[in-house]
Amino acid sequence: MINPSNPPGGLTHGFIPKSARITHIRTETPDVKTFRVTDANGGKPFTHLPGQCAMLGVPGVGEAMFSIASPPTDTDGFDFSIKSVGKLTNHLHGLPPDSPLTIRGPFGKPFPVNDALKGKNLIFIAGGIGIAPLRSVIKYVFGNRASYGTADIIYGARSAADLVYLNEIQNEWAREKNTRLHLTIDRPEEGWNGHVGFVPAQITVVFGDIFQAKTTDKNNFVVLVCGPPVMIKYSIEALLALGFTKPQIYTTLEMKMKCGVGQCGRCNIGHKYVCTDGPVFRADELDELPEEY
Amino acid sequence: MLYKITNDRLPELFARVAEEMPLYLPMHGGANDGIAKVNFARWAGDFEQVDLQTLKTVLSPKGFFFPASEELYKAVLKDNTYEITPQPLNDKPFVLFGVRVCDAVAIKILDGVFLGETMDEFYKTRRDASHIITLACGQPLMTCFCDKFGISPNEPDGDDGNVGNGGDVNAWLKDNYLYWQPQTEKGKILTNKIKCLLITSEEVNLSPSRGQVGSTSKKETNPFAALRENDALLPLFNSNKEANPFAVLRENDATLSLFNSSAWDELHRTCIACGTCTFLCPTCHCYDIANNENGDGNAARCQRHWDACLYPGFTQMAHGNPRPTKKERFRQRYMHKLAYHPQKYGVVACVGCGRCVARCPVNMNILKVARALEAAE
Ligand SMILES: Cc1cc2nc3c(=O)[nH]c(=O)nc-3n(C[C@H](O)[C@H](O)[C@H](O)COP(=O)(O)OP(=O)(O)OC[C@H]3O[C@@H](n4cnc5c(N)ncnc54)[C@H](O)[C@@H]3O)c2cc1C
Ligand code: SF4
Ligand code: SF4
Ligand code: FES
Repeated sequence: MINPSNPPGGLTHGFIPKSARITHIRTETPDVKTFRVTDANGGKPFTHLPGQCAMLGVPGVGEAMFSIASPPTDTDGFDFSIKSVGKLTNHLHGLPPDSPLTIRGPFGKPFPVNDALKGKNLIFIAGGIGIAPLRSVIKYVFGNRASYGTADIIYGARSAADLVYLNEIQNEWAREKNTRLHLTIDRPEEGWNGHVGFVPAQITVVFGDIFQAKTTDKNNFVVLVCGPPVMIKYSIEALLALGFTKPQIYTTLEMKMKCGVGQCGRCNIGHKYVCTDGPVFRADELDELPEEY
Repeated sequence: MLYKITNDRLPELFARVAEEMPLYLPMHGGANDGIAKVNFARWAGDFEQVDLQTLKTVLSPKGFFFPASEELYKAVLKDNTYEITPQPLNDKPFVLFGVRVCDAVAIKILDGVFLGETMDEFYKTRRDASHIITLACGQPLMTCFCDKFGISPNEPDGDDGNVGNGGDVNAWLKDNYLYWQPQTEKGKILTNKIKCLLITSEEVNLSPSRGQVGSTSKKETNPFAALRENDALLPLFNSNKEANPFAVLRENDATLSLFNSSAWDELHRTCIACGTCTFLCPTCHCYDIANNENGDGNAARCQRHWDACLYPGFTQMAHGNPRPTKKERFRQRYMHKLAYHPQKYGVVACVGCGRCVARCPVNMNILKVARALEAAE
């Protein structure tokens, strides 16, 4: 069972939310803001593991699923990095700090941070807002550095202005031990001295030489890929071409969600329900599913 | 223990049951416009309205557990905080009399979804409060095919390898009697309360001859035999009377080949995506959660409504729709029932009630789909 919120009245059903509050808002890009959300008393609404999600709601406006972008080690709430695309997300972008919300969760299966990822060299591959779920893992790894090997982060967006967390990445992540950053944007820009080109192509650029060399043991690596469906598809292809195997690759899928508890019938891909069986899937698990995502 | 009561005392029986708790049973509704509209409705003392002959109520009884619309919670803004009040659970006991075996089995299928991995307390409370009394069908209709799923419309108690139906009491109309057999603890308690009206019936041999119409032994008499003789009249059946089109679909590894079957290219064309089949189907359970404003902007009601995977907006997201055309949505409905649900829950999400056969405005239905998939294999 996916550990539903414990709402008032002692009911255990997953779709009664708790009241919550936005305590802090950071503008990341022209259409992404990061919201710090606490429960009504300023604490964490529930515990989670990296990769899990929550339903945020504004009564009368709507409710939607978002990845928890902060690590479980944060004690004073959750971060959500939200792209403004529709009714609820536009509304959220217009709210000031201290606005009330509702929250329920956690939903979904997390990345296996405490088993398959332990002791491994990690490669994070993200496109656009797909960095949000990975930030939770990345910061968790930074907080438990001894438990993991190297971290390589390939992160791309349309332009430099569209890179979420750019400040944090350049000023905080860049200082972390055993961590290499590979930022890329789709087209050249004045003042940009990082990579240029789509994310999947950068995988080959960054790792081509390393992994062609026979000395590198690929078995020590686990790769986490998050982003738009096409990016995921071509990234997995690039990784396989470098000699990685599907069981080494984890990704997240996105489908429309309403209930979060495997009932409402929206988020299924074949017999797997993204809200309860996902959103994290191992690449070899995707082979069993109809291609409908 | 088997009991019986003569048919002319049924009004007394219903009145006595209704003294204990609200009683719902199939009744004629509204003006007679030539279409028999029979639905479950609350007993109000008028036996004339009760219809124990019509096999299919228009709406299945699923709405008693999973209502077409229900409020989940209220959120009221107070001191800049949403105060959330869940809808109180309704645990008032009630009786559903005259549930056909297919519909009773469908409730068990819904139990898998709502009482499984994640417990739905709204559903569970209503389920616990319910007393389901099944009624054997006697002679099935042309549109019935519950037998394809191992359901026997006249042997609802799950013996003999049949699918047990989960009824609290099973009932049969035969000759001049209603036979009444409690199955569960709830059924026994209810029976004890109305026992003064019932006569024990030890002399009736339970195994044979308890169908409503002329069966002599359950081994010898297949209530579908006569029907299948008329298969030629129904476009849905092919000439092979024994073939079960659903058999192939139960293979897990068939999923991907069925998904990619060329049959979908044609099958979806006639469907007008009205959603009738999903709302009438006793096992369909997709829903929407709507967050509605309550006027002044400071309060909102969150409601759950039946929804249909056939509607275009069902899976629409900002970056696109994973089921972009009617073909994918139509395929989703039938793949869900025939392949995904069996893979997840071990049971096909169809009980052969035939409502989609009888009511689809363009004559599409799950049998046609299963036949076409089988033919395309
Ligand atoms: C597991 C998971 C994790 C996620 N994590 C994040 C995250 O970390 N950050 C993030 O920003 N997003 C995330 N998302 C996506 C997020 O849930 C959606 O962006 C959100 O649901 C949009 O809600 P909305 O009310 O703003 O948009 P909606 O108003 O629902 O609109 C979304 C889009 O669909 C279209 N649309 C809506 N209804 C219809 C209709 N009936 N017919 C046609 N078109 C329609 C709209 O035009 C719009 O383009 C995640 C999703 C999932 C499933
Ligand atoms: S199959 Fe028939 S009843 Fe179902 S949505 Fe299509 S037209 Fe309507
Ligand atoms: S798919 Fe059709 S026949 Fe099967 S249970 Fe649903 S309505 Fe009845
Ligand atoms: S969101 Fe309802 S089934 Fe997954």
